[in-house]
Amino acid sequence: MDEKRYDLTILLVTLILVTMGTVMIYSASSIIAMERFKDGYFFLKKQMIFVFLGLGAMVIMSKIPYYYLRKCAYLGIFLSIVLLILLLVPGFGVKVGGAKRWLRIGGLTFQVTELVKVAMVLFLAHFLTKKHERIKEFFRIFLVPLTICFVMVGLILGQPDFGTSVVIVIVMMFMFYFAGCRVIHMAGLAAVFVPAAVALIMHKSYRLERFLSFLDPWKDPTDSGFQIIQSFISFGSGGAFGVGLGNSLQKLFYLPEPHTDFILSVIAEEGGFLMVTIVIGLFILLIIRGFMISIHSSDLFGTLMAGGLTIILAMEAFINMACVMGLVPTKGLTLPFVSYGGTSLIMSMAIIGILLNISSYIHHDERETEKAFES
Amino acid sequence: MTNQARKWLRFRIVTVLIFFSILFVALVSRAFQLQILSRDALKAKAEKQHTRILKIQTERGHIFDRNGKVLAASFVVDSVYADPSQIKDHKGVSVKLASALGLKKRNVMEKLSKDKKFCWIARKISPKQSQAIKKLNVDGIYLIKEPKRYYTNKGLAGHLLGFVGMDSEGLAGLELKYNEYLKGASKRVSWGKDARGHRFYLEDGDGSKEVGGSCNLILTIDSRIQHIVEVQLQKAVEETGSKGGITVVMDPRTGEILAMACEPGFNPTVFSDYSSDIRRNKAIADCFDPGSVFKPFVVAAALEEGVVEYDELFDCENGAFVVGRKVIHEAEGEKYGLLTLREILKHSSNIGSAKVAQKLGKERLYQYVRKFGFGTRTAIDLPGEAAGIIRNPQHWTDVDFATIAFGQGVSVTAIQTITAMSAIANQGVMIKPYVVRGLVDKNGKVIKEFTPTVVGRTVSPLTAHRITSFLTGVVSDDDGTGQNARIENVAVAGKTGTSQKFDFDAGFYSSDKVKASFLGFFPAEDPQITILVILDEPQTKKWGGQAAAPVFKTISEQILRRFHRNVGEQELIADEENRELKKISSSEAPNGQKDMDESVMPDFRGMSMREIVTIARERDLNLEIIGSGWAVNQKPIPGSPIMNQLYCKILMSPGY
Repeated sequence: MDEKRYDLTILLVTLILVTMGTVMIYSASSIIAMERFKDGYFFLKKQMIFVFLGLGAMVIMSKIPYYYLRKCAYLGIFLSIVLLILLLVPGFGVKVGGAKRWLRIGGLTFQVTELVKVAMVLFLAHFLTKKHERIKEFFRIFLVPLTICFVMVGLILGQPDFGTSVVIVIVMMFMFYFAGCRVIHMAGLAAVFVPAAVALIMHKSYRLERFLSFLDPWKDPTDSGFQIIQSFISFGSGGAFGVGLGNSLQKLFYLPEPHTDFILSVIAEEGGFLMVTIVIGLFILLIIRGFMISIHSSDLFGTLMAGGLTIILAMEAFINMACVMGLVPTKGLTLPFVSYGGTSLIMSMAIIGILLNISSYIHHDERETEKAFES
Repeated sequence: MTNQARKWLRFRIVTVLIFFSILFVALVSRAFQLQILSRDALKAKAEKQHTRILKIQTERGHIFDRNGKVLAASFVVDSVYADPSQIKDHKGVSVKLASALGLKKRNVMEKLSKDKKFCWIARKISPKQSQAIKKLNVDGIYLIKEPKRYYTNKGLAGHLLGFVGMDSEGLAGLELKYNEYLKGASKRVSWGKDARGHRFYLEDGDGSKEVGGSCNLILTIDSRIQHIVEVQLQKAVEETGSKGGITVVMDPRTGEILAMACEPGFNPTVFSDYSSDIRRNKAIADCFDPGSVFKPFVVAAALEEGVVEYDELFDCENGAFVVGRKVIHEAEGEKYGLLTLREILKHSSNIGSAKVAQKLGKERLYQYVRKFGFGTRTAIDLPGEAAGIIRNPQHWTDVDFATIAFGQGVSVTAIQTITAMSAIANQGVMIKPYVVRGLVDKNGKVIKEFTPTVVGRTVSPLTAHRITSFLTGVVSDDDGTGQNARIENVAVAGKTGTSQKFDFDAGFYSSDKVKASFLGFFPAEDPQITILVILDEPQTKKWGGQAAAPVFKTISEQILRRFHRNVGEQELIADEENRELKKISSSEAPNGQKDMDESVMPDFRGMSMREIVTIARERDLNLEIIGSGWAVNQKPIPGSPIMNQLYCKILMSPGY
């Protein structure tokens, strides 16, 4: 093969976001870490390890030719389902805040859903490429993916993790759209999913509560609206240019999870509107580059894979930011690259690795790649 | 893949790209809304939850008399409150509390059974009671420190001082007027606090800010004189069976109020025990018909205007003077023939006064009445002052005009009356009365100082001297109405008054209900003290000369004795600041000759620039004159011996 040309912009944006995230995690968590673990650097130290692991994952994924991944499509789905079931087995799943999301293997904990999202995109990209000729046929296209999706979403809802379920369904819908499914078919699917989501919200009282407090957070500022109001106050006290790095007062136990879900609130308070705009700008840049890789990818699988992975990052980033700014109900999703969290960071960087790998094939002749596929 | 399909694929990806771009731009605009547009509101909420502010009310300032004696002071005492939600055994606790605090068991029980987290049980309790509460040591019952105001001597000068409410706000008198200064700004202590309520110090400053403490008031009141006045007034009220009384003592040269008392008195420490009628400072808030004490002002006006001669004779119509449809009589059925001005005042002739007024005319009488300050607030630094009522002369009937000449049909306050008389005592220059000398902060630094303020000239020094001379006769002459005010070896100028009170039920002036008054000053040749005594509805002695004049005499004598061991030695209090003594001449009337004593500083006060310069040239004095108009103050003070220093500093004021 000729020289490979990686997309350096997406790499640079990722590294900036990760650096900012690490700094902000230290600022946001040091007081909580001091109180919980008597070590202000506790979360920083762990995050540093995750950053190195993430960089490793990124480098490895960027070296593996992406079309090799097709071979793992069904394996990924199988592994995902096994792990999700394992979560429910007592002794493996770790319960945090009423939800079993972490799998403990040896001394390590692992957030299974992070893997599931990538596995789902990989499977869909592979499946839709394979069935591309029959894309307009409803049953041939939708039956298998929907079945897998329902199994997974069912298991994830059992954790319970409503947010990730929504992300997976939306990513799936976007990939159907990319592949060129009939609009009428997708509309039919939406007609099923939306009432299902509403039913689920109504079913669990805390979801309804979250939804109501989202609609009017000031109604009950001390209880259900507390988190979002504290986030508003962080944004407001940051103003245009912020109170300065390390000077946030909202991280003093006012914000519920200042180093994970609500890290943008701390950024907003310490760095002001300026910093928030920079963070959002970096994500926009990252997403544009991701879709550009998708558009310019020389084969359909690369296109769908890059598009799906970019949508995962875009969805997570958007939902997290919209949520801390009170635009969508609180979800419990982290901000990719920036929030504290090992699995999330490593998987996000692995996604960037795959995108980089896809970007490196862009200048190859399309026929050549397709030949490689057929062989 | 066909080219066509490929184009469509790209198109679909671009639509999703645009979709997400819009979403992220929406995020930026939301951040803009929160961080720029709603910034102030959210920042305020942030500050509110991040800082814990403790308001510490600084101790209320003390009130001192002119010599530094405390009249009002604040101490910190305990109050008891309860958190009923913490109390289980309501009945047992209320029994214990009731016995410790001397309250009714049922009332305590009622408070405790309310579904609240806070309720007062008793406020500002005694140290003994708070000891008892501490000993009880019941959960849910707490003590808190609160300032309590104490007034010394069972409320000396209570009407003047006023009182403060439960929450240390001045509600009346000086406590109200100077509340802002006495209260001082509360000290704000602020801490940062985290969501769990732990305190930490904010980076800027040490967290506490001193905004400014309270001030102490220094009054013009002399508590010794105030004490004399209160005792004597109370005694007189009891002896004469009066409903009440008012006495004001003033320094005519400066306008300083030396004492101001109302009877029945009241103790501001326990102000709620008294009705609002008793708590009202009647010396400034109540209006009355002045009666005969008004006559000197009418005569002064006529003399000043030159419409009567100094020795002119007035036909007093043998006790019955027909005006319009009414016949005017003299008091006590007296009958007079021809009287001089001096005799009109000496005998307090109603007919004589009416005739003098007629020579003056309605319009000019009105002008002079206003000039003497009637119908206008004196602007004394006390709240609740009344202006009195002087009707427009166009509405005076002939009868009104005649009766106004002897003080019936005008409505005035005690403070107006004594201020007007002080103007006559002060060579015709009227000085605004005041009770606060200055405000001093806790470190003794003077914040504000009040000095005498000239209101204006009423009559010329000559007229003032003549009236003084007439009024001296009222007291010193054997047939004068004010002989009961006579003090041995001191020339007293004064005027009695007996005014009929308007009976609002019957609609006319009652002859049974009167106010007996005496208004005077001494020593006549160099007036230093003006005193007004009013007795309300005396029963045993109804006339000013009988009821009020002796009170004036006793108070004056005691003041003289108090400050100078022996009145017989002819010594009297001189200027307060210099504490210099001064001989008083025993001559009956001032005649202008006193200034010619070569060994002492002449009295320039009330003189014009030209007069001052003439005298200074005769006496070879060096002058420093400040301002223009009439002299209001001088240093050295008049009468101080001229040693080698032939120098006098004179403060002039144009009056207004």
